[in-house]
This record gives sequence, C-alpha cells and structure tokens, in this order.
Amino acid sequence: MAEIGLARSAAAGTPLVGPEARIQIATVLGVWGMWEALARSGLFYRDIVPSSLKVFAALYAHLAEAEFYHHLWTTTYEVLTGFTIGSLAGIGLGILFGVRRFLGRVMDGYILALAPAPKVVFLPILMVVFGIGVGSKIAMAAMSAFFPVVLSTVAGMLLINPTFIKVGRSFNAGPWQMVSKVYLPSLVLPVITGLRLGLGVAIIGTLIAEIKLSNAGLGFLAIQYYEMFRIPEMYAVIIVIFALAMGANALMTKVNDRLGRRGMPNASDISGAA
Amino acid sequence: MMTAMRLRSLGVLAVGLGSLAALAGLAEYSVTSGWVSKFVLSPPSEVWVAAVEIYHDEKPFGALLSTLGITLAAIFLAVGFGLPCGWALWRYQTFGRAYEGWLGALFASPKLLLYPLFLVLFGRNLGTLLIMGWVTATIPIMLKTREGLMTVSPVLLNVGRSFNLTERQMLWKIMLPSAIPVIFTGIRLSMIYTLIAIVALEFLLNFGGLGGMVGEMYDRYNIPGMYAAIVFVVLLSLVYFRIVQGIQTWLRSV
Repeated sequence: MAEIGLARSAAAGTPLVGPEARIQIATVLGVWGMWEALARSGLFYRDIVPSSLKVFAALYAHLAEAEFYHHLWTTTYEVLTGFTIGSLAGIGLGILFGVRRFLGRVMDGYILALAPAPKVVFLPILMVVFGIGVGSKIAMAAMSAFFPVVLSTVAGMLLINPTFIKVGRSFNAGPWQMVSKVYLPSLVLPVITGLRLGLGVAIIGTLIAEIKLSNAGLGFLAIQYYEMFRIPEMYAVIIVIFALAMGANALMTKVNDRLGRRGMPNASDISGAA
Repeated sequence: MMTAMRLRSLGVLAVGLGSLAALAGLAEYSVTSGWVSKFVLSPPSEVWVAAVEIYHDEKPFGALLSTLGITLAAIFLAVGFGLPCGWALWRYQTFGRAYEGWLGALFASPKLLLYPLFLVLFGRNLGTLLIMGWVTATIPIMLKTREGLMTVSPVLLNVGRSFNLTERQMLWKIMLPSAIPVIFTGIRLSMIYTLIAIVALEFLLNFGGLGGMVGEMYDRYNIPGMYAAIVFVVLLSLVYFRIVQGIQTWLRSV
C-alpha cells in the first residue's frame, strides 16, 4: 500500500516532503552544523561547547547506567506525587469555591494574588517545614500545580449550565452525587486544561527545588555535572529533562484536544448553553 | 441593586481581612505557646520586626530596582527581536507554519533549566540573567505578533487597499495599530514569565535582587527575615502584575 502511495505521489509530481517539513529539516541541520562548527572552532574553552557526538555518547552512557534511572525515578516520583496532591486539592477546593460563592469571593483575592507570584520564593519555607529531602520537592510540585488547577476549576464551575444544577437538586442529589454526576462531568475540559498547565509548572518547580538543594533527581544530576565541569554529561541530562517535559506537555495537549473533539462540554459551550 | 452589590463586596473584604487577621493570630499563638517550632514558623510580630530591619539594612528597594531593571532590559531586547521575527513569521507564511509548533513547544518547556548552559557560556554574572530573561520573553512576543497580524480585520485591509497604500504603509498605518492589543498580550505574558524567571535565577544563583534577598535570609537561617522577604516579594509581584494588567486594559480601551 505504502509503495503504491509513494508511486502515486511520484507520478503526480508532488514532493514527498512538504515545504514546512523541508524548512524544519534544514533548520535542524543548520543548527547542528553551526553547533559542530563552534565545537571545533576552538573559540570556546575546552568542552564548553562540546561536539554533539560527545553529548550523545554521554546520553547513551547514562541510559545504560542503573544510577541514572534512580535519579529519573526520584524526579518522576516527586513530580507525580506532588502533581496528584496539588491537582486533587485544586479540583476539590475549586468545586467548593464554585458552590459556596461567598467563600469563593473571599478566597479569590488571595488565590489571584498568590497565583502569579514566583513560587520559587516559597521554597525556603517548604525546606524548613519538610526538610531538604523528597518531601520539600513534592510540596513544591503540589504548590505549583495547585494554582492553575484551582483557577480553571473555579472558572469552569461558574460556567456550568444552571439547569444541570437545578435538575440535580430537584432529584435531591446529595453533595457527593452532585459532584460526581453534575459538576465533574461538566468540568472535564477546564480541569484537563488546568492539569496540563499544572503538570508543566510542577515539573519546573520540582527541578528547581532539586537544583537548589537535594541529593537525588535529574535537577540535582544536572547541577552536579555543572559543578564538576562535566559539560557533555550536563547537556545529556538537560536533553533528557527537556524531552520528558515536552513529552508530558504534548501528551496532555493531545488528551485535551481529543476530549474537545469528542464534544466534551467546555467553558464556552456551557456558557453558550446557559 | 448598587447598594446591595457594594454591601456584598464590603462583606467579602471584611471576611477576607478578618480571616487573614485570624490566621496571623493563630500563627502567633501556635508559636508562642510552643505548638509549632520557632525554627519552622515565625510569629507575625517577629516577622514585622524583621521587615523593619530588612528595610534599614538590606535596602529592599535596591533589590527591587535590580530585579526590575534586568526584567525590563530583557523585555526591551525581546521586543526589539520578537516583533520583527513575528512579522517575518507572518509575512513568510511557510516559515510561520514550520516554526509555530516548535515555538509553542518551546514556550511550554522548562527554559529556566537551560541556565547551567548559559552559566558555562557567560559565567555567573548579569549576562546570564539577561540572556535567560530574553529567552523567556522573546517567544510569546513572536507568537502573539504573528497572531495579531494574522487576525487583522479584512475590512481594515480592504480600506488600506482602496487607498492604494504600499506594503510598508499598510503595516505601519493599519496592521500594527490594529494588532497592538494582541501583541501587548504577548508582551504582558513576557513581563510575567520574565519576572518569575529572573527572581528564580537570582534565588538559585544567590545573585542579588529580590530572589537573592530571600535566598540570603534562608542561608543565614534568619527565619523571621525569610518570611518578611517572601511577603515583600509576593506583595511587589502583585503590584507589578496589577500595573501590567492595567496597561493592557487601558490599551484595549484606547
């Protein structure tokens, strides 16, 4: 089948690779060529700009080492645990602030004040309270994830069609039934959007905490290699961190898009219905 | 109707301030009664004393000026680079389509973690902070400039064409003024993310500014001072974000 497709496109005279893809390939090759030229130029002190071959050799060596997976697991555990705690707290409180509007209005001021503040300044408090081990990193991830999730959950709550809520109440639904049968099904898309943003900042928060003070994790590994001036290894760890962070973001975006395409109610649909 | 709304707002404000005061009272009592260690939580009365000491000894407004100066310089450079690049991505649409996904992915990526790379290249100095700020600030400006130019109303473009405007005149007289609200959304995002990145770097590198001030208090284990510095940074960032939001609202109304 594939061969038939190839033959057809060749016969029709259309290029197999579109113009955008050609630009992307040329850009990758251009950047790689410039990097290699700089690495071999001698303009920089030894290994500050290492050859890509050295970086990939370091990456390969890391992937074959058991210790690397210990650091990878530590970061993954911290991110996922913190993200889960922060997200559950964000969804729960978001629903509460949406249902109890007076409480919501009181808390709005504090949440809106703290949400955009640089979370890293709270790290010393977290280290004093939870110590410099895994606990403070989980707390940092939880705090980072909490704000985007609670903000999008409250926004979603305010846009739920009031008819759904009236129907739930007319059936004498209890608080848990209201949450599981009315609120959560209407909140899928806003919550997923909050989770996507929350996961991104949870990853950044965890890695920053590891860089500042820790003894395990990918952030710790990267900064340790920097301090030991093992630059190719440092680049290799940064590549892994970027690949994981961008992969997690792409996955959440895909979930978001798929739910949107399936017609899950989102904020604008709900507001339109109301 | 108006009075009822005003009364409700006053009620919200009173309960908000009251709960803050209650929280402060609880913190004071829990530490003075020995429930919570003084090395974990500082009583607000000690935080207040530390805040006065910081004001006299640490020159917090100097730290603020340092952080703001680097942030604004990075944004200035990012506007100078991001606007023409955004225009080019709009003008040469194949390039725009090719790079849009990459730029979006880069915007969402943890760029801050590239700082060891710039430390290696530039050393532990202002250059690293400036380049990291610039990297953070440039991408939203490029993306929003392209988006702003793409969403200019066709009616306005037709008016320009009916006056036989040249491409340059179309850009300066019609497209840029019409795209300014969207472009400023990009600048606003840059201002928020760049401040966060600069404070984080100052904290990580202990390199002066607001982030450095918090880090220094922690390193000295001055717990009341640490809490005072954190409150100071949060309040200042709140004022900064409100000003940025205010500028955007004003631009939309003009």
